Order: sequence, then C-alpha cells, then structure tokens
Amino acid sequence: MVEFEEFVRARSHALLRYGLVLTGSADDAADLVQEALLKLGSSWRRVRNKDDPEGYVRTIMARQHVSWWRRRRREHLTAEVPSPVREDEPELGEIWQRLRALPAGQRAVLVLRYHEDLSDQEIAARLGISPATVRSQASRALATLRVRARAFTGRRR
Amino acid sequence: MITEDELAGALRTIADRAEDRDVLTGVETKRRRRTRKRLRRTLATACSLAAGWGVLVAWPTYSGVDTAQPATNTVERMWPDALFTMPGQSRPLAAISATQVLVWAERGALEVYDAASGRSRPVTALAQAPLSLAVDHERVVWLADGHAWAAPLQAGGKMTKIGPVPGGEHVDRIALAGRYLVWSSPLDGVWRMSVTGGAPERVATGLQIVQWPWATDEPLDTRANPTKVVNLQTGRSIKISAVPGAEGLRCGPTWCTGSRGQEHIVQKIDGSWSRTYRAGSPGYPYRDRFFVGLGEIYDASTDATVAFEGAKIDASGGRKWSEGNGVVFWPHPAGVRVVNLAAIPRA
Repeated sequence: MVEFEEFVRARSHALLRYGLVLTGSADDAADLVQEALLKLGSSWRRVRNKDDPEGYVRTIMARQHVSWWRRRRREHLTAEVPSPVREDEPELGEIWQRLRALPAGQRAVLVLRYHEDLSDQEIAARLGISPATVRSQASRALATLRVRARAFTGRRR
Repeated sequence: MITEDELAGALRTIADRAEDRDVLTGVETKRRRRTRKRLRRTLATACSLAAGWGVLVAWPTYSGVDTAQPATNTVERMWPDALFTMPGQSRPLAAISATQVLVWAERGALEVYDAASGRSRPVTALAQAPLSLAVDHERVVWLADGHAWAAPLQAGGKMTKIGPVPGGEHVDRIALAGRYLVWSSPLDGVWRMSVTGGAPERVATGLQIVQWPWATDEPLDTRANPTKVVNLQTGRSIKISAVPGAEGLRCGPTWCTGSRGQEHIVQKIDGSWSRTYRAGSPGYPYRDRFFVGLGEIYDASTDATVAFEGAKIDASGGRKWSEGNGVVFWPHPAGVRVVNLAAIPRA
C-alpha cells in the first residue's frame, strides 16, 4: 500500500506543474500544493483506500485556489511575479498575461479543460459548480483570451 | 485570435517550466505551524481560566534565532530535526529530501539512507564514490571515465551509461533538471543531455550552473565579480550589485559571498544589505540560503550562524568534518553524525 510520503515524492512535480498553470506563480503553486497535501495527509488513511488520491488533491487545489483568489486578489493584482515566459516568446507571453488576468474561477475552468483534458461534466464535479456555470465561465474566458473555439458548449465528450 | 490547440500548447509549455521543490518539507512545516497555533490557543484559554488562581503557565517557544550570540546557536538547538546519527562508516554525498541522503558505503555501493526509518536501501554497486554527482527524488547521475551514468533510486533499478560527456575533465558542476542531466564548465557554458541518452545540446554560453535552474557568468579571475544570475528555465536575469569594495563575489539568486579588504562578507544580490562573515569564504549557497564556512553554517535567510559539534578542534589539533551537497558530517562513536540542510524548513 502506498504511504503518504511515497505518494508525495512520486507526484509532487506533477502537482507543481498543475499548480503553476492554475496560479501563475511558482511560489503560489508550491503553497497551494502544500496546503492540499496537508489536507490529504490528515485524511490519508481514508483516501488511500480509494483509487484516486491524486484526483482528491487536484480537486482540493482547484477549489482552494478559487477561494484564496477571492481573498487575496487585491494583493495579486499588484504583486510582481517572476514570469515563466522568456522575453523572446512574445506570443506565449501575451497568452500568459491574459490567462493571469482572468478571474481564478475562469482560469481554473480553462486549465481543467485544456490542460487536464476534462469534460465539462468532470470540471463541474471538480469545482463544485453546475455544468452550465462551467460553460458560461469557459465562454467568457475564451472571449477574453480571444480564442477561436470550435464550440463553446460541450467541446469534448 | 488563437486556437484552442495553441492555448493547450501554451499551458503545456508553462507547466513544463515548473520548478521542482521539496514539497514534503513544506507540508511538514505547515503542519507544525498549525499544531503550534492550536497549542497556543489551547494554552491561552487555559491561562485565562487559571488566572484567577494565580497559576503561571509557560508560553510555548520554538527555535528563535539568536544572531547576537552566534556561538550559542548549535545545530541541536536550532535545527534538531536536521541532525541524525547514521550507523556504520558510510560517507554522505548529497541530501535528497528532509529525511533521505545519498551515501557511498565502503563495501562499494551507492545507497539511500532514510533517517526516519534508520534504514539504508541499495541503489547500485559502485567501486569508488563519484566526485561529481547530482541527485533528485528519482535518480542519481554522475560522471566517471568521460561518461555520464545514471541509476534510479527505486529498488530494482540498474545503473546505465547515459553517454559520453565532451570535455568531461573540465566539467565542474552537474545538475538534474527533470529528464535532463545538465553540466557546465568554466569556458564551455551550460550543456544538457537526456538521461536516456542522445546528443548533448548547449543550453547557454558564458554561464556556469549555481544550482539548477540558476546559472551565473562566473569570471575566471577569482577576484572579479560576476554581473548576473540567470534562471535557465524562464530566462529571468537578476543583476548583481556589488557593495562598495566587494571582490570575488559568488552569488545565488538572493545572496552572495565574497571579500572586502581582509574581511569575508555576505551580501544581498542587489547590494541593499551586507555584513562581515567570519567563517571564511564559503562559495555558493545551498538552496539559495545556507553557506558552510569553517566550522559554521550560516543561514542567510535568518542571519543566523550555527555551530556544529564536528567543527571543534580535536585532540590532534584538526577538525574532522566534511561536506557534500546539502550535508555536513563528521565521525561519531556511534557512526557518522549528519546535518541534512534539506530538512530545515523555510524561514
């Protein structure tokens, strides 16, 4: 049976990757991963017997991120965060700046859809919102990012 | 306008640039802080209930930093969780995590020693301890015979030859960056090669690795100062501003050490703060924070100088301590006493 420390060692980098695209900052990503793992650690015995402790952590991370953002957004809007984008990558930099400027809920929906490749139904379950809200959040976010979507509803599955 | 595929690609690219961090230590620190807070709340309640009867309840304290009297700061007092005794005569080579260190056992093997369980597990047989190595949570890589080698840390793995490293004899720093082995030498810049093999490719010219992903334009002249520290993953460059009179600075992304006249100094990279440093010139910081000097460990993030037992001059008039990447160690009647700097939580 996998122990908590083993799980953390094996999956921390993957969680930091997910945290970085969710939060837009390496420090916030580490903070978010640690917070989620702290919660996982306190219920590890219960969660490890289920098949998907990582899904549990990712769910905590997405929801915690949205919750933190509501509390901290004033700080975040003014904070200088080291960018993971190089100066010679203007197109990537533009997409990244727009992504960072999105409200956390909208950004989480895009990350879950385009990075985690989840269906709208799965995103709704992960964020604890309705599928209709997922679609409207995605629609607004894509419009802000000026993404040419194949369809705004039910993109996949 | 961009497409959905371009958005997915952008997110993937950004995710690939996530820096690896010791998450487990951070979780442990958060857990302790919460426990302390709960304890303080409980005691505060107890105090207020007991006050009417004149009962004195001691407030819980924890490892305060005592910079005014550095000699009183010992590893035992400041960082008890980072100190352990390892049985036998294995030589610690590098810190892996808050509890694990990579060691070379005299019988000719690389092993992972876990201070929490007190057990070692074999990694691979190896006749001599490698002089140049890097380790992360998954594997160890090292240079020997002009080639790079790798072995997984998990049990049952096999040592593999990654491939030849051109100019290997000049390589003085190597690092692991995810699935890449990265190395640098004073005149040849930074190179990388997949840990599964393939052709080496140049990552940067004119830079030397400090600690991945950070590199610096370290001059050959030991009295000259570099000008910048660069994050090779993101391209972010930090300008080094030497304090007046500083020479031979060697910098991580936040701190530098060097000399000024007859003194050794430590300074912030932007030159906004500096102080003399009595324990010699220690070179680059470990984890952008710790400097190991002559018998003392200096934690720049808390401005604390911490002494350790092995640095005391013994009956023969010498000191018996040594160091690896993130580990300081010395002989002990029960084996080897080790300070694992990776076990010290963020300040």
